[in-house]
Amino acid sequence: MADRSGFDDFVRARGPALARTAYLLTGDHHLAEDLVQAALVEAARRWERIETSPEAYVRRSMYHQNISWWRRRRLVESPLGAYDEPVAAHDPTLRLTLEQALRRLTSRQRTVLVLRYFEDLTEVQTAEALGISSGAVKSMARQALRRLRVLAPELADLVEADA
Amino acid sequence: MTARLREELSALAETHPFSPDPSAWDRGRRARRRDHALRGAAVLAVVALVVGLGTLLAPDREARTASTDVVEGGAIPSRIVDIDGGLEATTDLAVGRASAAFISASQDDPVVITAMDGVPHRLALPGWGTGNQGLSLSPDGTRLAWHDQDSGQATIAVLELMTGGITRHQVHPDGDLALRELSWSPDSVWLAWLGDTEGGAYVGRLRPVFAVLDDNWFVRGNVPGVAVRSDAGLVFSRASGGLFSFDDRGRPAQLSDADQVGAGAFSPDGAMLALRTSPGTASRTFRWAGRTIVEHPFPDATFDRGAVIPLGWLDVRHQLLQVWSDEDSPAELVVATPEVGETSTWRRSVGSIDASIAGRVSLAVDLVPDLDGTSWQQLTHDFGERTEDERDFSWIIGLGVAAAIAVLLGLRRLWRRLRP
Repeated sequence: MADRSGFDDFVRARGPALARTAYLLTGDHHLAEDLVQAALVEAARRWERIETSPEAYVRRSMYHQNISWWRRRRLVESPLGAYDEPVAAHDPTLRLTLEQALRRLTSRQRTVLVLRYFEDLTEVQTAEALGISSGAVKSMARQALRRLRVLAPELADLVEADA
Repeated sequence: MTARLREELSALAETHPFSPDPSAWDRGRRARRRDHALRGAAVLAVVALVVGLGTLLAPDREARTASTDVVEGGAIPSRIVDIDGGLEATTDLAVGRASAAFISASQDDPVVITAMDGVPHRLALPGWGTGNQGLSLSPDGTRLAWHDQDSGQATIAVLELMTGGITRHQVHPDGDLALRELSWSPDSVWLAWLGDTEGGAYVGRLRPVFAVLDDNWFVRGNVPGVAVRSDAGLVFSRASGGLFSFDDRGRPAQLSDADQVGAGAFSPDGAMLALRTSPGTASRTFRWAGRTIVEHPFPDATFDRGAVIPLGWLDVRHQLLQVWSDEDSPAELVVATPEVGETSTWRRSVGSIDASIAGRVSLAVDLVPDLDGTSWQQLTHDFGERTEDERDFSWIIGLGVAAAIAVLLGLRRLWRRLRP
């Protein structure tokens, strides 16, 4: 059904799930909304040519957009002086600590982490989705987990085994 | 650690309740129009003329509703009935979001009802075979899974109802595996499957969007039901009694010794599992915390006895159940809380399912509106009676107008080129 109602149905049905992933990818509510909208515009533009799953198309578009946005933004991101300083331990809950620590990862590291541990993709599938080698995925995932441990030692239980 | 990290990431993601705006469609289409304006006009003119003429000449035997009733966003029909032989099977599988799916008792074919207009579509699904029992619509109504019997191996096919795209997943090399049970997670992401084999059954899960095939496990004995949580946790039931999950080594771990129950549908937060029950006097639910079974007895003057099949959850408190009290009467849709309390709910007359297809239906429960607390709120929609062969010409007229405009645009462009 290559028309508006099919697209609307898709957005209504899968939008909240896409928004959740976008939030994990960006760590920012506004950026997450922008990311999902941009990916949906792209999907609407090519709706008739999406042969299998619209969701897979939109998700793939989000991963690539997020990394390319990060490339444009990175010059104004926080200075490296604070790169590996532990997150202030004033947050009482593990979840808030995780949220803060995720924001301190690079966009590529966060994207790999979300794909591997939230979307449950294998290394090969993650590599395919991002257009990089599976060796790079493995190395980035290891670096991301290691940084999470450094940034927030209280997350050690969560990120220990694979790091 | 993977499971815990996933749990924490899932919980973190839930803190972002934003729902995207479908207006992205307009922006995307404007961009597309800019790219293809002139070429599109010419192509449209030719296509519209050919398709319009072809449609006028070709017969259209698909059933349509007598009323032009359309529900914005879609709704579950208040009456779900079997089709008859007059409805031809369609190979155009991009029918749009569906509200219900079932295996026709009279035709033995898969049928989906589209969410916006309540129209049934008999689908010519590739790989669908006689006696197939595996058919399941996702709770969001966008995907339909079935047992594809063409390949000679245990294969699950998943249809994207908006685009007609199909993905196939070979879940087990054993070709004799009869995939009998397919069950979606509440967020429509994971699909649990169950296939009978000699001496037992294989159960497993997959994630169709990413073609992620997870492990599968062999279980001895008669396994009637399986369910999967949004975080991929799998639970199955045994006919001899008991609910089970799998431990870290893939061995069955008993959660409850309850008998006369089967795995049904998980709540969105995974804290509760609505259970199938044999004919009895209550609906039953497994509560993960404490690993207890809670009951909601049928209120007085409702059902004396009834078999319960959970169809999904409206939210973390309310489950949508099919209660079937008499084999010759339609099954009723009931909204209920898992147990009786100060704020409990038990509401019948939500809708009905014909007796011939009761037990074969899966519903897009996400289409049930949020409960407003009143007893008169309509949770399903009456789309009216079906009639055969009622042709809708409005879209043909629209295409004709579009073609005329396109031809005029082309002539204008030609005139501009030719004028001195």
